[in-house]
Amino acid sequence: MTTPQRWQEIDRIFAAALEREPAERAAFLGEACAGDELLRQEVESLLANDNPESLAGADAVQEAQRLLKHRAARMAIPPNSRLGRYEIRSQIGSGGMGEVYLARDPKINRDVAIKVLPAAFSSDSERLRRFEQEAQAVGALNHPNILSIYDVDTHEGSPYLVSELLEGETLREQLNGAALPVGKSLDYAFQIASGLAAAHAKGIVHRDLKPDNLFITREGRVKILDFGIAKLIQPRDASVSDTELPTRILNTQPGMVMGTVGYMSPEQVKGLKVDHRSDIFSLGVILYEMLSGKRAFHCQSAIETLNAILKEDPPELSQFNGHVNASLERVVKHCLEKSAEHRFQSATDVAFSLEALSGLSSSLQLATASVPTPERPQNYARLAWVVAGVCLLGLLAALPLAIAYLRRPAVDERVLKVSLLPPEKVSMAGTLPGIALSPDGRRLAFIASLEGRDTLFVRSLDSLSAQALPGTEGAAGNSAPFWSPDSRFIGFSAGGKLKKIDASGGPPQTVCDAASRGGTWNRDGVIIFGSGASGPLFRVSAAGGEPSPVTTLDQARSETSHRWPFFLPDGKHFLYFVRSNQAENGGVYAGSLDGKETKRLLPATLNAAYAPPGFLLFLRNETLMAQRFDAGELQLSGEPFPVAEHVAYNLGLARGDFSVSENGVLAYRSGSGEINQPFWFDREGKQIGSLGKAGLYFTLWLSPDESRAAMDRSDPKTGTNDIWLFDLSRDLPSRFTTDPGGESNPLWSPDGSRIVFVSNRDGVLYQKMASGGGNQEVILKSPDDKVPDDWSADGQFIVYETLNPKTKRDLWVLPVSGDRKPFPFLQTEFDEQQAQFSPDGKWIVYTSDESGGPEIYAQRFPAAGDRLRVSTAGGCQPKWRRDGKELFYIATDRKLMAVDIKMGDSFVAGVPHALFGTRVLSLTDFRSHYSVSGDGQRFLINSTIEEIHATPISVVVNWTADLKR
Amino acid sequence: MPAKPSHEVTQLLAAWSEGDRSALDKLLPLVDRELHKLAHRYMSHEREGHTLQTTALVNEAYLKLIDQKVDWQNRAHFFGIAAQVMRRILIDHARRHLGPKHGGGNTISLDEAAVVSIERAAELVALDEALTTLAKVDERKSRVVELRYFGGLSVEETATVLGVSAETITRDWRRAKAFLRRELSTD
Repeated sequence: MTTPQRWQEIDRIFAAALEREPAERAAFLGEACAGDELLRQEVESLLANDNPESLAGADAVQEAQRLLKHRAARMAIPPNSRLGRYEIRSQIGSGGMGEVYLARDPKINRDVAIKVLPAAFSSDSERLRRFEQEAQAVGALNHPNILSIYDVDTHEGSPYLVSELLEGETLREQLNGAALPVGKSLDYAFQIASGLAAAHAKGIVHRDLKPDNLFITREGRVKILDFGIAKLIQPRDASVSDTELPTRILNTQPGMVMGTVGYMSPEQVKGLKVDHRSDIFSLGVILYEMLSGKRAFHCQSAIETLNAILKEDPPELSQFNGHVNASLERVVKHCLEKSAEHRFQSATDVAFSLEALSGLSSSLQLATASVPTPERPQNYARLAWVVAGVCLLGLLAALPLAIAYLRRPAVDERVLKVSLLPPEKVSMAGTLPGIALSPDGRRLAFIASLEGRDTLFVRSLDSLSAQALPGTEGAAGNSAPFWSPDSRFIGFSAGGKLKKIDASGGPPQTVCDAASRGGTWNRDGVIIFGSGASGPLFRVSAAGGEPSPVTTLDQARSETSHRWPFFLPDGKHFLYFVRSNQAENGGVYAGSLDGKETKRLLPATLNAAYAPPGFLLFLRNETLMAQRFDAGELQLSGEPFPVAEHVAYNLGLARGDFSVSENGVLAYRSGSGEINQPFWFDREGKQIGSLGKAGLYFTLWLSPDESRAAMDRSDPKTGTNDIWLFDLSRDLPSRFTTDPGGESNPLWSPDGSRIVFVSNRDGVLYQKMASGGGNQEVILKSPDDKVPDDWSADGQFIVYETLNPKTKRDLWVLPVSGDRKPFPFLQTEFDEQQAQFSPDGKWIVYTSDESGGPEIYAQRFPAAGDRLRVSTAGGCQPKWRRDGKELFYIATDRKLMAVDIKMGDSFVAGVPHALFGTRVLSLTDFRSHYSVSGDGQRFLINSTIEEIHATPISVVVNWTADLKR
Repeated sequence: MPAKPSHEVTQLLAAWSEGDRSALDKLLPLVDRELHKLAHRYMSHEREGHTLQTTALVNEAYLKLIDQKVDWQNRAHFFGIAAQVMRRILIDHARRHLGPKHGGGNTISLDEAAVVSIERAAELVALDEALTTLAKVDERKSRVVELRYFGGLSVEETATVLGVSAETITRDWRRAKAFLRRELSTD
């Protein structure tokens, strides 16, 4: 044992050694330890464990995880020893029923969990044999809701089970004394019932179903653990060989938790013969607990609890949970019938009823609305909505048929179409590409704006309303959501992070830091995503981690962006869209995770998707086309044929607004890519004029003399961005840039003679005479992505944004004269963007997300000094009144805000007040979507066209049915 | 009427940092209660992976208990207390999950979990033990780790609580971590 004195000595030399260069340490130690070999070893071992990299302060648990990465916990079976052929790594759990270890199966190189039961359990060889048989039978089931058993064996008299290794928690832990949401409860119960049904079909009864042996994986899948173990540990009694004797279990088995009696069936309590219906009772008890947060049978003592199971009915669920309706209450009661004869007679029946309850009115909605898309979809859809609602109760009888219909779209079925309107008060404008059907075709995810905030919504196709998922506010509308292959999770992008969320609710979890342009998720838990406006595709584990590139931009082919990946059925190959400045190189490609294969499938300006049994779906103009596609050979064949007309798309993002499931459901939004238009508003928000016609416009900038406006807009044919100038007096647009690459973010010089813009071809900042004459001149060339933000009134400086992998969006300043050597203005780990010089040039106002959401700040210029937050509850896109006495910005609810400003020695901002609500396309896409007249009285705003707010989503069931004819 | 808790705690904190030892005895249970309450809430709601954000938790307790006008030295002292409490809560929690073998009351049975559940409980307990070992030979370094890990204190705040320079803390911190890493890897 080291004494404090000894430690002081060790520590002193250790400290002194750390001061020296690593190369010099050996010599130093030799001298300092002066022959004390033990001392030297101590210091050397400390030096070996020194890691100057990890000096940052951190959260205790995370840090402990890092520190202990290679450490195996103390255990009964030491690490690195063997159990049969398995290499024990560490102990991961322990309790009365046995020790659980993490182990490696070297034969197939996989991690497994091994549960070693106490040797006492195997004293009865007959019982052990039956247990092994049963475990093997369960293992053979291979059902997603049953823990997979790989192997059963005995080690020194202790039987052990080798099973799949899961991550997550038990239902007991998840419940933690509180109720679960109804949807989740139903889902879990459905999964449990499905697992039970599979086991029961093989004649296997669980006998000890309870929240402690139901495991919920991180993906939300329920796994039933420990089939048949209850039987093994039960003391054998020859006279009642196949009955259960719970009281004896309680009395004789140490380690059995008393609480488990609460889940026994009455026949178990009575010690009668049990069959599968006993499990159904237990399932009822569990469902009751999930819905109420209370145990159905729970008294002071085990004896009283057992009595309650025999004689009492638990209190009505509606007492605890207002969301439990009468039908659900009936299902639970039906499971809890005291007599097995009166219960559900099979787990399949339970599963069926639960499924019907998870709100499956939609298929019936689909069924009742099974007419071709009407000419006036909006009005019709509203009607269908009401009709479906009113008929809901009367149509319950038709449910099973409808469910079967939705789930198993047979080839000879009719095509069904229905239109769904977005929820009330929710706008889908500005979030064009955001719809995604779950692979099982049962739910639709989309991004829509709720009270001005872009939010992820999920709508079960069989329910009448869409649910906003809490915590997804700020979901990026320029990156469509995508589903996990099991249809349980949704991936989406928000605040510069790729996130995932349980589609049934729960907190969103960050997968990695990355803006995204679409994603796709395979069965091995790999997510591929587009990294933003430019760049290749990246891959990351769905569990989170560091993303790494999976494709490479081919510079020689002028590729600027890979996006909208879509996994093919093998989970190794994927489709993606390539944007190139040479139109002939753009299109839909197939790639592979190993990066070895790249194949251009078709020329296109928009993304494509794959749908079983073998179609590629893509848009041609506004028509959704399908073409035969062999996903194995990556080969198209035959002619493309139309599937749907008037499908919306967004050329800027290169995304068509459609989505297909794996089972024949197709969803798309109608409309054209022309979604917004510049409109004039006064300070009261009254529309007082418009400009041009509908299109897809982004940045908008009034010339200093207010005679013209510069805008970048997406060309409806090619999808490339060009800059247009509008002559305001004559409402006359003219194209300012014509080159095949994309140009954007126009910026007027203070005297109105020149326009600066950025080209996506090479990331170069150019300037060009506003008259259109002369050549464009390079004013800044550097390898990083740039966006020009503003030009100081004295003409001296241009402030621009760059994108740095480490410091994200930063603000740099380019002196326009002299050596034109740019210098950084703000370079933090947060996004700074949308910078605007104050009219006196002494301050820069900008948007930063350092507080967690976008807010407006003012900072002294040129030397960054005093700083002040201007916005109070979220803000972006600041713009000045010309006299510098008022600043405008857009709040996160898209309201235009005004703040009085006083600038002198310091910067004083008044209280922001709202002027009116806007319909700007996007808040923080490093653009300003509006401009203010110099007097601050009029606003020219690129506003989404109002009709788009109510665009219905069309859902087609069995879209392939028509093709067969 | 008892005084507003934030006022009371702030007063006690000030008294304690001015040398009134008895103030600490009154202070600890208040901090303890608040942190337990918060921790309980976190553990029942933020279950994903169980990475309990101790820093966030301590901060929340601070906002609840302390007048925001308190100076930053007193704030650091508060966090110093909170770090101790936090450590105990976390370790208790971890031990409970590990079951009776590790000396906790077994409220949740892990017996049927052939699975990784609260994955890092064992490691957390090991960390606690290593810290206790460190405290036996070097109290200050062990406190540095406790304050930084469990209280989320910055180097400067840690220095204030322990009354030494920030440079000393930085050096202590590095050596303490080497010690812990060695303890944990050779166990």
